[in-house]
Amino acid sequence: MMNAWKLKILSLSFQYDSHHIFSNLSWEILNGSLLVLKGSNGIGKSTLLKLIAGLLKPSDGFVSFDSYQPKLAYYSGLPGLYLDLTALDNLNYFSSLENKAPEYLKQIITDFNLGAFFERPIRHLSQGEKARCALASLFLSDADFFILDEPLNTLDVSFRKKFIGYLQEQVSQQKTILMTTHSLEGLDGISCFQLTNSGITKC
Amino acid sequence: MLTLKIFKNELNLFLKNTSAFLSLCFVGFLLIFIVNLCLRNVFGNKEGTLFPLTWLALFFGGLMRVQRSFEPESEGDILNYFKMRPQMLRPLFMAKNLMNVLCLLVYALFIEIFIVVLFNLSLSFYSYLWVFLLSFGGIVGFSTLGTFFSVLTREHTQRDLLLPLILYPLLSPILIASVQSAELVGGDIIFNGMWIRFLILIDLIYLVVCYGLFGSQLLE
Repeated sequence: MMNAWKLKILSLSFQYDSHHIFSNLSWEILNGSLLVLKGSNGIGKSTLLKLIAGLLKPSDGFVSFDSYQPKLAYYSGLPGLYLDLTALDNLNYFSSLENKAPEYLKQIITDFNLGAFFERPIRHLSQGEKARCALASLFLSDADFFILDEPLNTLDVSFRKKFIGYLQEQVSQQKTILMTTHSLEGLDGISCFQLTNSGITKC
Repeated sequence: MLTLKIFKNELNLFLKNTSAFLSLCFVGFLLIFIVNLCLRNVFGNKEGTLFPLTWLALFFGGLMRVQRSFEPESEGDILNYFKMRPQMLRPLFMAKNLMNVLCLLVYALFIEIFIVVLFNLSLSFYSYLWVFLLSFGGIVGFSTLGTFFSVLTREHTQRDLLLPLILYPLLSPILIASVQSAELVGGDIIFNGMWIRFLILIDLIYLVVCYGLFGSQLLE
C-alpha cells in the first residue's frame, strides 16, 4: 500500500541573479496522477521541475509535501549516465546502488527495448538511445514521484507510444509522474496544465 | 558497502579510460627528466633529492588527477542523482578519494622508480619502502583536499586556476611535512618523528573535516 501525499507549491518565486523566472506561483499535485506541464520556451518549466526536485532553492515561497515525503527521481533531459561505460554497466551500477534484484534489471531492459545497444558505450549512442537508457536507469529506482523534463523529445514514434503506456502502468501502481512536453500527441486523457506568466492553469 | 560499490565503479571507469593516467605519467616523467637535465651537476647528496623531486611531480600530477575527480559525473550530468540521495554523498566522497589515493600511489611508484633509475641512486629496499610509505602519508591528505575542492570548483569558469590557488596554502603543511619527515643520506634513511606525527595529524584533520562537510557543501 503506497502512502498518500500531496505536493503543495505556495507563492513560489524564483530568479537567476536579477532575472525573474516566475513569481507567486501556487499549485497542488496529488499522488497517483500523471500530469503534463506545457508552456512556451523560457517560461520556467524546467526551473519549476528542479525546484520541485529540490535541486534549486526558491527565492521566495515554498515547495512542500503533505503527510509523507515521497522518494523523488528526476530526469533533466541529459543522460545522467557515465558516458564511457556501456548502457549495461550503467544500469548494473545504478541497480546495485538501488539494491535491485537482477530480474528487475532484466525486466527494465526489456521494457525499454535496450537489448540492441546495451553493450555499447553511452558516448556512442544516438540521442534517442541515450534518452531510453537514462529513463530506464531512472525507473530502476524505488521513487514514488517521477519528475521528467521533456522525456518524449528524442523518442521515436513507436517507443514514445510504448513509453506513455509504461507511464500509465506506473500510475496504476500509485506512482506519480509529472512531465513537461511541447507536444500532446498520444497523451489523450492525461491531466494537462499550462505554465504562463500569470500562473498554472488547466489546459 | 555503498562506498565499495561506488569504488568498484570508479575502478571500472579508470580502466575504461586510461589516457588521463598515461598523460599524468608523461607529465611527471617529463618534469623529472628536465630537472635531471638542468640540475644534475648541482646536487651534492643525490639520494636527498628523491623526496623533493617526488613531491614536485606529485604536486603537478596530483593537481591534474584531482581536478578531474568529478569529470565523469559532470559530463554525464550524474551529480543530480547523488544530490537527491544525500545518504550517498559521503560514500561518493570516500570512493572518489580512495580512487585518487590509489591512482596517485601508482603514479608515485612509477615516479620514484624513474628518479632512482635516472639519477642512478643506490637505495636499499628498506629505504625505498619507507620513501613510498611516507609518500602515501602525504598523498592521503593531498587527495582528500583535492577531491573535496574539485567538486566545489567544478562549475566555476576559472576552475583550472582556482583549484591550485585554493589548494596551495592548504597543501603547504603536507608538502613540508612529507619532505621533512625523513632524509636520505647515501642509501640510508633518517626519520624525523615530529614531522611524521604532524603529517598523520594533518591527514586525519583534513579527512575528518572534508568527510564531514562534503555533503552539505555539495548541496549548497
